[in-house]
Amino acid sequence: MKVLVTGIGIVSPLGLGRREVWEAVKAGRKLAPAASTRFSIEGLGIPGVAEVPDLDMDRILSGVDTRRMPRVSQFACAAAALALKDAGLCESAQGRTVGIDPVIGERLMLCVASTHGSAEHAVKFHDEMIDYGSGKTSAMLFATSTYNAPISAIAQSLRVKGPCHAIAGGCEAGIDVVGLGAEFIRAGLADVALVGGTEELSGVFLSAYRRFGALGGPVPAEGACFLVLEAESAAKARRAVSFCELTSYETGMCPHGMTRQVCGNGGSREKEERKSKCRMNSAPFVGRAFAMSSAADVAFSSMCLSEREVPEALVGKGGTHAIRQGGADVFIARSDATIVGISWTRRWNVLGLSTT
Amino acid sequence: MVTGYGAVTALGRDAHSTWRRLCAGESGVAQITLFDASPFYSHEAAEIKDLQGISTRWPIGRAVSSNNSGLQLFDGRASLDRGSIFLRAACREAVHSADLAETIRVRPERVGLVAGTTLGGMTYGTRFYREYRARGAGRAHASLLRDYLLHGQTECAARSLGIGGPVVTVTNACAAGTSALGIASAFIRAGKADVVLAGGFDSFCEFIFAGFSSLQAIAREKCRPFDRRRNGMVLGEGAGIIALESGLNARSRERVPRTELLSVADSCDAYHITRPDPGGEGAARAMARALKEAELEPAEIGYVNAHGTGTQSNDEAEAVALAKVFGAELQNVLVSSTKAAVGHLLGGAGGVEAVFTVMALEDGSLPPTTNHDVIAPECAGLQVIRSRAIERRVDAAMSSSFGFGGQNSVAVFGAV
Repeated sequence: MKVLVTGIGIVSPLGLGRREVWEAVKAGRKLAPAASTRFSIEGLGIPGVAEVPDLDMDRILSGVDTRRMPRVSQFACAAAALALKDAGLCESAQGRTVGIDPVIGERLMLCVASTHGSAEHAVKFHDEMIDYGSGKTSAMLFATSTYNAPISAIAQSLRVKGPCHAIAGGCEAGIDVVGLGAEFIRAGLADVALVGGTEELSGVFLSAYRRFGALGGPVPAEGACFLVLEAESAAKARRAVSFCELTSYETGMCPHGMTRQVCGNGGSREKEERKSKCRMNSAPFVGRAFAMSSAADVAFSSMCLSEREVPEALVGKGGTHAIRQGGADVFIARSDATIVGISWTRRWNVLGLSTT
Repeated sequence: MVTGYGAVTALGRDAHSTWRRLCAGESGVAQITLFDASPFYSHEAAEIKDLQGISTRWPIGRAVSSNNSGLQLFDGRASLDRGSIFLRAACREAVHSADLAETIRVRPERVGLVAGTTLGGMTYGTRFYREYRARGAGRAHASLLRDYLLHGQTECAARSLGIGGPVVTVTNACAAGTSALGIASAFIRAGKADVVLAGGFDSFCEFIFAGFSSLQAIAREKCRPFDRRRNGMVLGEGAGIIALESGLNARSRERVPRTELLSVADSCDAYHITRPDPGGEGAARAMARALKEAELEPAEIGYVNAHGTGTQSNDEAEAVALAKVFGAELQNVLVSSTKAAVGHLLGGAGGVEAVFTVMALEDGSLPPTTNHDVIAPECAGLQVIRSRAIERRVDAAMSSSFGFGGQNSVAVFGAV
């Protein structure tokens, strides 16, 4: 069964929605590091971070109270709604998403990856434990600090009632949710999959990464990126426009080092490089947004394949040997793309895309 | 096919010792020792007391070659969060029980691990943050965060076992352990692995106790699932892992499994971030779908290991859902909740309860609901097993898990 990408939604410091972000990328408008509005970057040794400006959620979603949601959930809700709207699968009123058809909602699989979850609310909950005493903490803050809070927020906002999975993972986890979504559709467990990654910036985590010596590379960033996946037959039946086809998904652990990781997929990093037309580098536009970054890599690759062109700004200039920090490595050929993710635990995953 | 399992709980450091005490009606609940519980209205949990004993039996942090299945531990870190220790201990027992050491050594890329957790290494996370607040970012022990991130615990555990196949960390709140079984099955069905260790783990810590206390969800006295005097849950800790294997692979190893995972179905209430849908719609949908995928009628299920937290809202919604799905057959289905004995293991609950459900099918003993005395009127219709296990062979059993965010996951197992 062929599984297609039929919708993309992005919430990024560069803008809201696929078109706005893609235009910014094609125009070469890179993330601009700036001081955080939420925490001090003093001592982190970085020029700044790339934050998503406060979202006017009422513009995107109708009838949903998002005020007490953590940012990671707000980003996820907004990106998920934008993706469904992009796919033409949501009901809307006055331009705002009001949810999906209940019949589709029961057969829709939701799969969301995050590296840190709602770090800000977890920190606030700890602050309450320390400042007011363990017995006097906020119940709502506890609930919204759980890793699956974005799932709950999306499900309630968009009336998703099918299988929902929150996946914790590193920078490569955005690839896994796409792969798992496709597998669920192929297995007949869902008709549509809404998959993506979401991440919010946290001063506490950045300070820890600084201590680990792992804060170099792309500017730390936040946001969410979601994709809508459908079986080809279902997409054709409703005359949906597709971006690309998901052709393969492999994942595993490698105890033997980086090169062998990709060898585990039956190919090799060098082989991918030889056959590739170019190596895509999304880092200047996505930054280091952990699980969101790799989901954005899949989305950008999908758009490149759809347009049969890699925008000049996305063409990697620094050779192909460096591992992309905070995201995935993307190799794009004439009609297909290979996205390779590798985590600090030496877990790898590879996603194959092709033109439709 | 289920070819092995492992469990670490407050009742025992392996599946069989836990099972013996569970069936005898014992409870692992006692006074909290891990932190000062005096600010809270309740002071009890099902803690695992002697951690050192676990790390001695399943060496952690150093290479092992001649014992414990002959597996090499990959990393030499000595300091692991409690959650990691429980997960590794349960995995190692499952590997030993399923005799998988040789498979992992010869074909590591065909063996995976899918684990559910809610908190990961929150014990270390809280320690780190207290230091961060007290001493500043530059002087807090950043190394504590190495074993805090949820996926890091699962992935490092996989590395320590030499696993080279798919590794995924599911964090579907309290449904995570059961959801992990479904994702593991999907990997096997898709041909991406021959064997996947699947289940869940979580450790008990101040953060989670404070959270559930703030929700007034912790029992003020004993946890009594489905009882008219029920007043909340009791938290626990540990891990439960089952070894899922394709039938072809099990036959090629001449393993004769006695239990099969027939289906796992997930759904979402889309109702509230903490409360279940009182109409039980989402839970019923997951149960009905699990039965359909297992190609079973409700009458063919002999036992249900219920989520049964002992809270007012969960037990009532679960009873409504069971009544919707089983209808008149509900009177013939024996139901128990094992949470009053081992505590609510959150992300680990689905894993441990899957192990109990498999053992119930294999042993012909159905575990009791500790502290259950008189059925609550709103749960009337459930045939709850009380203080002692019941000896009865059943051909198929269901294990249900429901979590925050309205996440529901239901697994159906069958005797082979």
